[in-house]
Amino acid sequence: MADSGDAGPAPGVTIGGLGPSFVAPLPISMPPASVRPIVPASSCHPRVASPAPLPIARAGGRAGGRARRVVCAALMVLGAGCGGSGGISAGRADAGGTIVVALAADVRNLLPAYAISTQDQMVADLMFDRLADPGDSLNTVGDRGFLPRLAERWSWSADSLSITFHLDPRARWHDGVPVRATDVRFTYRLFTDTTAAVPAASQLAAIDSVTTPDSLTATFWFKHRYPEQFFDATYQMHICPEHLLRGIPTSALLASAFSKHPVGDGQFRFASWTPGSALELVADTMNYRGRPKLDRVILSISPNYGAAMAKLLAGDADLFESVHPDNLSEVRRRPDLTTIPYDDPSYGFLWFNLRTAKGTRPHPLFADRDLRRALSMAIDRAAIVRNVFDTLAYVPPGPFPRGASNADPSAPALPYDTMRADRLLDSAGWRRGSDGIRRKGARELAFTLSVPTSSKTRQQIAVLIQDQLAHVGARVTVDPMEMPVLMQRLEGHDFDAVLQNWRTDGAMDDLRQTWTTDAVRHGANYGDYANPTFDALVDSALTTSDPARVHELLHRAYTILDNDAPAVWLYQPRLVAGVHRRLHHAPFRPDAWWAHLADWSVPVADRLPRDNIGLTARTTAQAQ
Amino acid sequence: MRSFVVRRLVQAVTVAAAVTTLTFVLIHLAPGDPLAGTMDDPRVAPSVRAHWRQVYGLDRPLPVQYVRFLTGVARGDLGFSVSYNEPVIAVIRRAVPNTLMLAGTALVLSFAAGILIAVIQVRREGTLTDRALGAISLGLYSLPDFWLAQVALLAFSYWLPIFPAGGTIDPVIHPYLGPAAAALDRVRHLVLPAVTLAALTAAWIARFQRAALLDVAADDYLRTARAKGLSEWTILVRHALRNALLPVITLFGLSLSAFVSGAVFVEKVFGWPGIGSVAVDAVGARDYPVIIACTIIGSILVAAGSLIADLLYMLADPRLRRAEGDADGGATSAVAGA
Amino acid sequence: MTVTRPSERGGAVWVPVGPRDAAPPERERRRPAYGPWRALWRRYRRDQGAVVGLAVLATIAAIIIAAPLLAAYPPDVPLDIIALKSQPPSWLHPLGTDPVSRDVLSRVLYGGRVSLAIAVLAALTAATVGTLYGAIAGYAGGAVDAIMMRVTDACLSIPRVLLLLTVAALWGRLSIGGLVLVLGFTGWFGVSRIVRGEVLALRDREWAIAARALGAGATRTLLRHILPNVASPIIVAIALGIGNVILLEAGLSFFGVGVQPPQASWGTIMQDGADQVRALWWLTVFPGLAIVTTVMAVHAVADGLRRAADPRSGYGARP
Repeated sequence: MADSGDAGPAPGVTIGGLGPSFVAPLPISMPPASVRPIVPASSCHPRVASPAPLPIARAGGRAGGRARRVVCAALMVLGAGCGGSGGISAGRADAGGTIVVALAADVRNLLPAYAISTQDQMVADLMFDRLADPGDSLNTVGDRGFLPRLAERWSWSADSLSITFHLDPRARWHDGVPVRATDVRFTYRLFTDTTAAVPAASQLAAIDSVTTPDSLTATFWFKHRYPEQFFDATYQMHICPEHLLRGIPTSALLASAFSKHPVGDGQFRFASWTPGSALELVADTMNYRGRPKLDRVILSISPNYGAAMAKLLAGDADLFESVHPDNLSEVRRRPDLTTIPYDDPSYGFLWFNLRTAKGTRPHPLFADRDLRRALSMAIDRAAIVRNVFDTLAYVPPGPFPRGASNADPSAPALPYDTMRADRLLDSAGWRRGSDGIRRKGARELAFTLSVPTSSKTRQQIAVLIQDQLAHVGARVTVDPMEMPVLMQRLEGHDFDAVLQNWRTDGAMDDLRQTWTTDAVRHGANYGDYANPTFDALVDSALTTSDPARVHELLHRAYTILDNDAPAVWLYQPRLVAGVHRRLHHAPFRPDAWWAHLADWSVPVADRLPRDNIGLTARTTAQAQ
Repeated sequence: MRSFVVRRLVQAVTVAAAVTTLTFVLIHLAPGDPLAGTMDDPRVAPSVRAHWRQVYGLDRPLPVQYVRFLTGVARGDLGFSVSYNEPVIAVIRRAVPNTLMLAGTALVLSFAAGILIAVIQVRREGTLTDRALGAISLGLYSLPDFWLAQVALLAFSYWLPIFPAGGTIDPVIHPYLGPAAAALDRVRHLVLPAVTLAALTAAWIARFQRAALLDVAADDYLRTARAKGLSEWTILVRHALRNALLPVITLFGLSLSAFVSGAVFVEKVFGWPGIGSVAVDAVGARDYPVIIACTIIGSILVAAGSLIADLLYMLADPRLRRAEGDADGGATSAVAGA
Repeated sequence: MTVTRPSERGGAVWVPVGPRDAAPPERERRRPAYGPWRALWRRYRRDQGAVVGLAVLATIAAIIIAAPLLAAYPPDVPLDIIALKSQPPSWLHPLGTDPVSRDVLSRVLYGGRVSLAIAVLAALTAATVGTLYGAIAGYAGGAVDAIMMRVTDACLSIPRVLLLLTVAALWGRLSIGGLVLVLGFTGWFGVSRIVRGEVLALRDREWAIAARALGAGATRTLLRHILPNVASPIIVAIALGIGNVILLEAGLSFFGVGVQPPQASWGTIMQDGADQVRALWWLTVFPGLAIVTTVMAVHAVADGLRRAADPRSGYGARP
């Protein structure tokens, strides 16, 4: 999970106009027929080892393993017959084209291990491959829907405590060295090396070790069984080249030559990077998965949102991934641009700190459950979302984005009811003073709401919350501070209330990391919320394999959260990308719209001058 | 003369050292630390953060860090930037040429425009042209620089898409352009930021120059020139301007300081990757070595500017060459505004 | 006991003399019809531009002081966060509304109070500190003067903007008082140089020596004798300082390190619209125009003061 700096716009409409429990999406404008989404050509792909319908999905179960593996292998052989050469064809008739992606923030570093921001992740995803990628449904339970990448197939042990990945023998690093199992083992060791401070290390805690029976086989050994084993083993790690990173001490990794000029194994290879200006990737023509249809991917970096939008509108960029609602009409007026909406797997919320003085004492205000519930009911979340995002966001009923593994659309949510809030506050002893602010004895109902200066969205929401809570007699002081300072305060549990936004990877483990008692000391539970019943339910949900039972457990857990109201769940953004019409794009995967970028193409008839740069230009510049 | 230069150089170095120390203490005493920005992922354990603090030397007491920093500077090593993940020297080396290009162009433009406006104002003194130009230069002088930058962007890049919206070059096609086209690309990107930066200083120079010209306007040698039958323009440019340029020369040195300050806002709005942008970003990211490096460069520029101003003034005005006893280079005194 | 003597700048200056002198003649006790301030005003009035500037400034000040009467809506209350969000200028909202549906005209009026108050207070602080510092340096002379001016030089060579950005950004949220102090304490260097120069020059005039000879201490000489003659440059410096601080505060607030949102000030209104300059241009243009008009007026007044106070200086005065 990473704190996303700002969520773009998102649409939604309330049901009934009273406090919404969940917001139904409006039908979004469909892209016109001229932009035809292309289904990834996996139907005729030679490496379709585990398409979704096949019963290989094993949510921890183990029935009929051997028979299934035989069936699967047979299908693979059949599948390999279809599609012919597939992999290494360097000459596709329609290959070519350049896509210019406008970014509103600079790429910070090119090492996949340290890729935290979305643009870093995008670059890492394009240059480096994982063992397997999640499918477009982003299922994280078992291995259902996962698409093979570096691992052309995999197999589970009988007791599900280990998974063996068989690497594709054609996979090569961009410098020609073949990808081997030692690279996988090296990557695992690098990620879990405490001195390397790789953020994803805590996600790999359940993996005991990685062994390499032979040069093309890597086996992951787990400490225990749980539904998201496969996800953890594959999603968190982009495999890194051992032969290039071997001798570098971990503290020197970020400054090494490799981090300025990385060598990956993905369908795009690194060409050049001018910090603050542009990052260029070119197609890897000899890639084991096939040559991408585009020649170049250029990330055009702007210092802020306005400049990035200007590039899109001026035709200097082909894609901008999050168009603000205020600019949508202008984008739609352009004949050469189209808009594509997609969900952003993040959720924003108002976080109460239940303990003060760095966790030593109960908070004078927020330790009281009724007060928290009253404040939750005093906030008109639908109106806030409508104001800030127009129709481009949902109000989530709990700490999860739609479509995540741990999502529960039927989770209960406190209604927007200021009268109930007033009654609750009155009965808790908070009386209104002459200035309208409630007091209980000597204590005022006043607190500070911290927001990061980097997020205009949250600053706007903070002002709205301040106004709405003033109507029930609470005085809120908005305290903008810079992100480093805010993170410091969060980690020190040193705040009253904060507007936070977590970007999730859809895994159920996020719940455990953010809201359980254990997470107070070892995770991100900065608000010190602790409820043993909730912990028990989450733990059970994480170790149960039956989806129906998991759903029931989660529903009970979310009911507890709703009763306790440790936070007010505010928004899940729905982003809209502005895309140039000449691009034929693949479906957007919610957490990574670039996941199928290799399948995007530009028809020859529609090409602009920059599409015809070709692959061979700039080789002299690269050599410099 | 030489002793004057040496004295001023020593002063400049002392000042730079004092400024550096002050900045060092200031930023280390402030809350927030550079690692919080780059490692704001909650999955990173506290022990790991402690390890990285140790690697960057952030856990030592302040005097120890200061000594390490000083010895580093003596070696030419300005430290390691946490937010760019490269040595600070590399960051600075990339940024300074951009600022010099912008500030240099703006300097030339502003002096040319300022002197031209002043000459026209004096020539047409009392007429509508004079008042109009006076009002315009007063207006330009009163503009916030970032606001002018935004309005310029709005007008000439968003509403009328004539100029690009920022950056030094077109990141996509610049590497593939021929030399003439590449130069044109650079010029196109340079126009708006340079004109914005120049506009404000041009107004200032125009006002100063006009005052200086009027000061000498009534002098006797000009009456002689008029009596000789020379045209007003010749008189203005060849005789009056020569003498009236003297105070403006001091402006040349002082304007370096103004450009350093002004460039900060203009660079940020236009996304021009110069020292100003780098400094603002570094402050936001608490990247101490970069902040200190930028402050050092800023004060070196300012000190160099005032030294150049005094030297030029001395060279230009023969009266001063003989009497260089004024201890504090008095020519630069009264113009430094609040 | 006083005698009048003509001051170098026209008008008269009262110079206190010792108790042993005879009482001044009766007619000299009356306030002269031609005092120094009246003379200043008389000369000031002759300059058309300065008069216009003063009128504009007075109007702006009046409007801003009367903000509670003129503003139709409170500046910090969202009016209707769905229907009135980000509306362009219209009859009901002449300057439009911002993304949180607050009326921009009200925000500009109330924000003007904040911006101008900060500017005036900071300029006064800077002038006070600078005057004291410069007076002491000029009066003391010698080594003390040299050291003090070195320090000023050092402080002058720090780019003010960088210093302000660093201080304000690193120390997080500055209260308005803190902002005034920071702006004031970074702006006194120029004033101190001017004052020091003047005090140095006036220290050795006959009447100053006379005052000292008659027993006036350093403080008294400075305060009663010398500084009144330096009043004009100080006032001009204050006026210029107000103009500069308005611009500086707008810049700092725009970059998020000055006045903090949601408090309205001309800089924070522009910051609200900074992301959306294209779509919400009214948030950028109108506060900017307000700033430009005010600062132009302030500069015109400062120019007029400078010309009026020093008719023989070359700064644009006509013989």
